[in-house]
Amino acid sequence: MKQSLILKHNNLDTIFSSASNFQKSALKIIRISGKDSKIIPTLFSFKPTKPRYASLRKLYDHKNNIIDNALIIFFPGPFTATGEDIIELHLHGSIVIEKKIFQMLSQQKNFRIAEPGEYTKRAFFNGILDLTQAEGLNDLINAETENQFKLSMSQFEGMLSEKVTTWRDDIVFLLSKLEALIDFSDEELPFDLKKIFTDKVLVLLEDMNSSIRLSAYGERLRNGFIITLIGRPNVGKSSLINFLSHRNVAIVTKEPGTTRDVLEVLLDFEGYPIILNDTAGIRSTKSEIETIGIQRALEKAEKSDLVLILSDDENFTFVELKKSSKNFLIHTKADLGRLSRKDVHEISVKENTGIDQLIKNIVGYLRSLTPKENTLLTRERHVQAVKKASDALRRVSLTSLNTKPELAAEDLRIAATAIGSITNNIDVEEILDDIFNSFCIGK
Amino acid sequence: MKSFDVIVIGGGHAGVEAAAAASRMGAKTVLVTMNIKTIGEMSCNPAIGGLGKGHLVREIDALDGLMARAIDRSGIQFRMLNRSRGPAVHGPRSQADRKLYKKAINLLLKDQENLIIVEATIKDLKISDKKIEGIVLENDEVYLSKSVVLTTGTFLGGIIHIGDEKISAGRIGDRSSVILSKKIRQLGLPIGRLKTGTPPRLEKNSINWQKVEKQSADLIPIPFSYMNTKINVEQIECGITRTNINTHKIISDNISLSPVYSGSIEGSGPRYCPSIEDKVNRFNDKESHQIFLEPEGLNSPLVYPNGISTSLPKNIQDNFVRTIVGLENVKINQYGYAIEYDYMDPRALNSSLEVKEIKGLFFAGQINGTTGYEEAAAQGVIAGINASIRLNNNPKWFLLDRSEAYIGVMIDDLITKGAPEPYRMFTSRAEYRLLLRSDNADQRLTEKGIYFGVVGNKRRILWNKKNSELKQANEIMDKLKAKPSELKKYNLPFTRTGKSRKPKEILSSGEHLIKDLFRLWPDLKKISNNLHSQLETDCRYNVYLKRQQEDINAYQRENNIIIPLNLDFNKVKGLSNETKDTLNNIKPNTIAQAAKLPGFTPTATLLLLRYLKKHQKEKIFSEN
Repeated sequence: MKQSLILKHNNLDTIFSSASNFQKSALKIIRISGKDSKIIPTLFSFKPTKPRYASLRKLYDHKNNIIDNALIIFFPGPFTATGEDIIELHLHGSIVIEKKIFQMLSQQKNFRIAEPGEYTKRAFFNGILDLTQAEGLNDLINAETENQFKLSMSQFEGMLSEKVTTWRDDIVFLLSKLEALIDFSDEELPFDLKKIFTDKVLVLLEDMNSSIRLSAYGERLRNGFIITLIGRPNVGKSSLINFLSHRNVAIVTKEPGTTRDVLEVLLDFEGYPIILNDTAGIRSTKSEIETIGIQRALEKAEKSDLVLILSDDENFTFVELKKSSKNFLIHTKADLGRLSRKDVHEISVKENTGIDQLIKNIVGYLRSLTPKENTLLTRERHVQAVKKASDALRRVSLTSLNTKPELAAEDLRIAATAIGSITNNIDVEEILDDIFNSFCIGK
Repeated sequence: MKSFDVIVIGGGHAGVEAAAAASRMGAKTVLVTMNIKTIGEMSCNPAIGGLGKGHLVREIDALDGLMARAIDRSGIQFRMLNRSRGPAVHGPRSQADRKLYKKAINLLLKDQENLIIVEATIKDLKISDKKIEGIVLENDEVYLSKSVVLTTGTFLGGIIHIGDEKISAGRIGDRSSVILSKKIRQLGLPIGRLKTGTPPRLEKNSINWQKVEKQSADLIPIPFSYMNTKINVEQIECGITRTNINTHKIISDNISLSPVYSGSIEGSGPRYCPSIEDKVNRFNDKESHQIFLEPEGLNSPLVYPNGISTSLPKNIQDNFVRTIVGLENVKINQYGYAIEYDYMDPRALNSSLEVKEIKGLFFAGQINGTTGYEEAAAQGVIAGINASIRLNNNPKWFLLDRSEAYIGVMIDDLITKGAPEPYRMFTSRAEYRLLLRSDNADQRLTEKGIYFGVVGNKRRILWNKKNSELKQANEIMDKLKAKPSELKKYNLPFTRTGKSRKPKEILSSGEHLIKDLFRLWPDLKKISNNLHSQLETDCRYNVYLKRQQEDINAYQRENNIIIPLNLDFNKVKGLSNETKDTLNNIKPNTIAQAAKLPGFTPTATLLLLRYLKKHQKEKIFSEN
């Protein structure tokens, strides 16, 4: 494996990552390293802390909403684990809080999520060796080597590697045909490039995308299925969410339009992790802020695994909502009277009726999503690589091979590098071998 | 006893460029050749350029080398390969009139100050304490120098094969420098064996031209050199014909007489330039192969049949050639042959092309395992520049990396991967192909060339003018923008988001030219017409180039971490024995080179980095 170790990064970037797993735990630690770490207090509106002392601070978002009450430790460089300024945020264990922080950090210029082993790599560049030698080397080796790749894959042994090898071979095949067209333009090439590409690229794309979709289920199992509540204002969305979570996350009032933003609650339905989104009430409004809230609600709904459409009367239609999402219709406030419809769940938060049945149905639905095949791409790094390859291949499928073969080749190379990063690199010699072995070329 | 700053041995394409480059650098230079009359000779096919190769020629020119200017004065069929495709893969190529090319090279050499040319055979290299001190000629005369560039091509241990005939020679009619070959072997450098071949040369007036297809030159030939704006040489047509079943039958029936198949040739040949025997044997389902009939000059009586290189016995050559349409009564003037020769494994070289183990000794050209005039000449330029830099106490080498030039890609490939088969440039070898274009070689290299002093006055002035014009043009373009409504009015692409667009954004699709934007932005008329296509091309690849920049930064970073020459890799703890062996053999110059070695894992890179950091006083981790 000849993958570049030093990294597609430049040291200008400030990197961050979760020091704990992306799962439920009592505490979450986010570590931020780089020269812009200093802006963290400003970003989250808290008073800077004394270096190397743990201090409690309240973190706020841009709208001055509190995110969390967290323990902050600031380590000024160069005598730190990476040799750079490091700041650690010790947060309460909530996916929502973590996501929020990640989101805000990602939006900052020159901030990005750390690549596997990148802290160690920086430590090396900055000459912090003794500290990181032992544990850091190990991390890096674990994150990057093929060995570990194989070990961690033992349960699906061979399957992923078989699939990736097929993709790899197909990309080499395509690239060699295209490169032959470019480098031997004076030769008679015995193939119909357009046909080869139409056949192969679309099949590859379909295959990769379906793997990405399958991986989404694995990702959901780890990070939560997304369920979004949609309904007109004041139908009881927030009441339901509060009832379910037993936590006062959303502010519930009778005044329409209070829940203007999307709120997330993490729940557990019979072992299925759920991220429940409470959204703004859908209605026509002149308030700009509210319109944005409604827009977001609809966007959320589109990306959800399941949409719960709540209504306290017979009207469940939302023209704005795309039909593509799976949805349940829920009639709230059933204590005030029921509808005689079979396709509607009757619930009452006040009397605690119908809610157990609703949860049962939700779980039943989630269970039905279980893919029949094994999920192959279980690691985020692999999913990202396949996504990158798939994006590049989509561009290839849109590029004219005859007039812009160099652009198609460039995208194929991006795909090749991405897939190569999962197993081993695709080298130009391999492409040339394929050219010279498959047809007679040269004068 | 005479002394020189730089001695160049060999008068082929590498030697000529090396000598010229060294003299442009201001070094008192001598070029020693066995035969002064063969300077500038095209020993194989009479053509310059092609895909990848044309890129090299432009880069040589950007460094003020001779090749582009010579072919511009001698090209008789200019064709831009891949013309209908994107500019990044345009490959300038031209057929050459051998005589005119040679004349041009000799004239250009005459213009070089500080350069003398001597006809002599070399008997020995004077080396002491791992340093070159000079050379000894056949007549025992000694030339002293701290810098010697060896460009002896295929002359080392060259053996020509025609059927079972064997002739010891570099090129037909030339002596092989057996003694020097022995000396080089004694240096303990790794020597390998390669082969290549040529087709028979045909007499022009024995060809029935009526019966063959014709291929003509481009209507408007585009010069190779950035110094030239047009071509004055007459342009002619080539013929195209094909082999057929009868040709193939004769070849297969006699294949055992070919030295490659009889086993008398051991060296490996280039797969991209197979002999007709190979073509027929390996791809026996193909019933016919194309042959280009390329005239060797405007008035030359000879034709080079590109596509039927062979080493079959003479009578078989006569027989199979005459089965081909148009060649029924052809007369062969000189038979095709295969040549086997020694080459020095280029992994023994640094990126400067200096031998790692011997200070001041540089190798360039075919002796390093490459094929092609362009590959040779490009190395010649680099070796010539660095040979003159060697004279400084603390040499700052002229190095090109993979993100700067095809020359950089080639040298990096050679010194890290060696040359298991004769190395030829392809555009697919360049990772950053959209950046390394034949149209922008001057933008990539001339500035650097000026800084190192290898660019002459005339070109410097020309470049500075173009450069400032380009800057102005970019300033003009960057200032302009238009709202969607304006764009719509002039029928130009606009976005529905209401965002204004700049000229460069419009040009990036490749669908519009600068002059299409004149009506909307009259200011663009201030940009000189000569620059239009350059600017349009730059815009066209902009999006892709930005995406590549991150990769390039990472690569350059790795390439900036130097591994000291004398490092004993056995001392690096944790490396596998295999990896240690590889490293000790190849001695990579930089971490980027190490990382590319076969079987080199990220962990190995890390261990190596850690070792370097611990054991080096100076700061080797460049920060950017």
